[in-house]
Amino acid sequence: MISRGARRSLYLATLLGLGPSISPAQASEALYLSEEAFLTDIPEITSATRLSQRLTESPASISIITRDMISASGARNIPDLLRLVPGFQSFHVSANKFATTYHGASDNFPRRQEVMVDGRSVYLPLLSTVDWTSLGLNLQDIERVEVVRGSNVPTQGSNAFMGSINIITREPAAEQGGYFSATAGSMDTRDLHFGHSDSLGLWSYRLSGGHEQNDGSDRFGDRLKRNYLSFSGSYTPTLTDTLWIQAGVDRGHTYVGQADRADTLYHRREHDSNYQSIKYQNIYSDTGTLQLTAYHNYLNLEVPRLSYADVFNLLGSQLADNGIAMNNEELTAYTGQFLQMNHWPLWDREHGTTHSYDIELQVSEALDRLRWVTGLGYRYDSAASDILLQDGDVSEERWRAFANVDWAFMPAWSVNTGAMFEHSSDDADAFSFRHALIHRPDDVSSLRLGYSISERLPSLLEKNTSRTLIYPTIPGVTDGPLYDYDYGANAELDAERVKTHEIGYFRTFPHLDANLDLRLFKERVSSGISGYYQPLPVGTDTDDPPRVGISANNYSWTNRGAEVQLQQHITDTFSYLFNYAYINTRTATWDRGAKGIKPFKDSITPEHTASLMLSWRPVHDLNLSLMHYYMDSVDWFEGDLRDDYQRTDLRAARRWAVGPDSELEAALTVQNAFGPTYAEFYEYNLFDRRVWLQLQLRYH
Amino acid sequence: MQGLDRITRLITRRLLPGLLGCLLSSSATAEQALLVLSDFSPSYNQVRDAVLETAQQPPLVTTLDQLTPADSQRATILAVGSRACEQMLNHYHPDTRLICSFLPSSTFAQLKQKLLPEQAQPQVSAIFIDQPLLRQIRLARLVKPNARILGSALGSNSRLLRDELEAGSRKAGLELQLAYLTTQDNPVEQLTPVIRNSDLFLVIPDSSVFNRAISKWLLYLSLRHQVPVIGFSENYTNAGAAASVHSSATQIGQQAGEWLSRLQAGGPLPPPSYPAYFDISINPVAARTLKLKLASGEALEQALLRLEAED
Repeated sequence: MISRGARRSLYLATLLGLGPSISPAQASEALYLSEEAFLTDIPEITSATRLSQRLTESPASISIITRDMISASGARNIPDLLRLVPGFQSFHVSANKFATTYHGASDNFPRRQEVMVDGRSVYLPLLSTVDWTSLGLNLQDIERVEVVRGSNVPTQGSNAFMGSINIITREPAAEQGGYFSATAGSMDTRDLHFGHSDSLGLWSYRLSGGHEQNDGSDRFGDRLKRNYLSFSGSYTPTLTDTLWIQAGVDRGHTYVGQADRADTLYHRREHDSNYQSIKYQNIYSDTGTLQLTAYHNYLNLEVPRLSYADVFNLLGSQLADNGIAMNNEELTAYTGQFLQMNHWPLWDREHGTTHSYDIELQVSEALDRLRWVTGLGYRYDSAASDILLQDGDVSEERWRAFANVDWAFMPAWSVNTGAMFEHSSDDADAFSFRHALIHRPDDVSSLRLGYSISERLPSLLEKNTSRTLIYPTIPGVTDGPLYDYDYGANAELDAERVKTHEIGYFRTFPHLDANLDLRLFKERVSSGISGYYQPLPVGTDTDDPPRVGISANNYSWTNRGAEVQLQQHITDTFSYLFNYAYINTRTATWDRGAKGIKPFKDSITPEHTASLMLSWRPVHDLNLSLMHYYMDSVDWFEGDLRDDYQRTDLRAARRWAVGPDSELEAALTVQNAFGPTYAEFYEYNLFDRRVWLQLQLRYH
Repeated sequence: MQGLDRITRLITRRLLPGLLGCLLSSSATAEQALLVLSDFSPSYNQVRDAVLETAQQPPLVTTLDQLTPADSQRATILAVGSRACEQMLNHYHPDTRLICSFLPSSTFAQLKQKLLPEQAQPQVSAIFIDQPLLRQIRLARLVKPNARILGSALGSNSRLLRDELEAGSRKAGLELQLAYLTTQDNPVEQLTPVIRNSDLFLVIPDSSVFNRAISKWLLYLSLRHQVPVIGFSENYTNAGAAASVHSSATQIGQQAGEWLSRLQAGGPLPPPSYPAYFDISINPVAARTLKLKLASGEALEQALLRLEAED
């Protein structure tokens, strides 16, 4: 194969036309080292564009949660880490169910951001969200989290509508040894985790696993028990070829429910998930890289069915409430007919099975001032659920084609353009793009002007949800069966759209070991998808007024605001991170059809959010950290109005050497150390002071 | 249109500067030097800009695709980049003083040997893009003063540097451990024993594909074995090397401009040289991870300059 340099030499030779005294080059760059070798890009961040970039070159605002921050934060789940990213709002929906959203406007199933683990999407088409408790992942195995703030659809596709989160796990080749950890504390927590990394022949691998268990809150008993095992391996047959394989399984249960009432009953939800992922990368030239990825995600959620007695009693009480009296024999017959006409009732909606298959080919190249990446992807999602998808199993194929071009047209200026085209087998298309003009006046700062339009194709759930209850005929009372149309599928559902204008400024202060990141934005979401209630003819539905909910593109809102992130290592032993976001959200009239206009009690986005992390190492084996979080009041969809709160977490970790290659660490974490107890998302989901002690043995 | 462009280019780049040079220079007898860029890529342009800013009599600027046969007979030519050097050596005129700049030292040696094998004392010199190995080894020593063993890896382009690397290591009091890799080798298998047994690892630049491919594994394995990596570019430092010594295109252009001024003042052609100006970048995150106490880049640079002054 002829190299780019050699090709260019030959090409020039034919074009020069310099007469006999200037002949074609006799030597070529294929034979000797080029100065390009000294200017080689060494890969760094890739989440915003898929191109390796420094933060000063990125067309989007990116926050990096590093390994040190993960340790110092004392966070016990990934959404808690996102509190350290400006513009994100994280919340506990219950004791063991977590959520995070960028720029608010969310219910308990945030659905407008992509979450990936090493590039593998873990977004669930069945629930239109991410289930953080079945990822088969331990915080210990995370190297860093790259968070793109703002729509990243042009790079990652529909799910990255408001942003994307890429969780990068530790590369097995970079580790040797492992850890055992045991954690005990509030909610009767009993966690055990382990991880081991080593080499086997030409493979580097990590095997991790764990058991987590707690009793949840006293009020709801929303406990958790899960076991997981994950494998990550990399194989490097040659210098230019690398193969990564990852697989994992996560099984267990948690209790689900809505703490909007003090007497809500929580129900056990079993989960069984597994994934398999393979990635092949080939560096085929001085500037080119080819990457092929494929993965499969599986999740099965089971909630218990109501017993026959439960159905019998519920129907009996419903009939009684409507003034209809039945004797035992009549109610038995009625219950039998009800169970024949309906799927057997379940205690909660988080029930069903979903598969996702994805394959993608990506090529990145560079030519002088141009760097580009392009690729094709195919995804197949399927879902089945007795309660969410009563019209039957659903599936969807999606094709995507994407490209991102970075053109440094002048030494201090560059333009970055990314585009994504998605085609769904449901006969829907989406086209998204982002343009950014980046000015780098020096090596340490950049000013960015960005404009993007992104479209999000509706998820399987949004498009196909169908829930109906059929009540059998009651002789002498009803002429035929009664229908309670709860939610219906909407084949006409279209993509929702966000138009973003932004100004970004990023600056590093090398002498101060500090970074400053500013983002000013205006985001207008239009054709937003949410529930709309279509009126039904009188007598055809049991609701008053008769109606059926569907997902509709009827909603819009606009966010304006600013975000700032400042971090500094003041000394080798003391650092801080400060985040603040101001978000002003204007919501257009939220007309829900037959259910009327939704009256908002507050903004659907917290107007102010802030966080501060202080980390101090007074002596080499002692780490102290303090985290303070503030979130303004907000009117969550489903969750309702929540007051603002402040929370302070503390962590102290001490290490002891227990051998030449091993150390023991004891870490005490206190969350909400200074109180008071506050409500998160739901009125009765209370976050009190929580304490955990973790012992960890690490060996090399 | 193309013809018009060509005429415009000829007027603005050749005739006008030449005319102005004749009018403004009292010593109009000194012919303007010619600066030949390999192409208009950003790095070459930075070299050009620095030369134009530094040289007392700015040279004429051209690129390979605009060269005329007469250009190769100029009295003084500054070639920027390997391809410009290759072309100028290929058509070297014995009366020309040729300076090749912004190219690797090994490439210059190979090109000169191949294209001017018969010339006894050609007036050809160079300013390399790479740093002297001893400078890199000394930086390694400054990063970890108590280091005993220096690890490194050589590819097919850098294999020739083995003797120089060994000599430099000896001079700095370090024992050298080497791995030899081709693109068909498993990097983890080849690098692991060397990194495991080293206190420091020095990255020697090879081909771009080699540099890109090896960097990831090198940095991973150095983390795994807690061995600081000394890189050769700011990119390497940003990606995870503890420190790197490197010269920017502007610094090399500045040096080249100073050489042109000396030649124009009647001075002799300096011998092929490594960059006189350089920077040291350090990665505070890597330093913290590897528990290194590193001085600032400027302090390390001053320390290196002091050591070089003692030679």
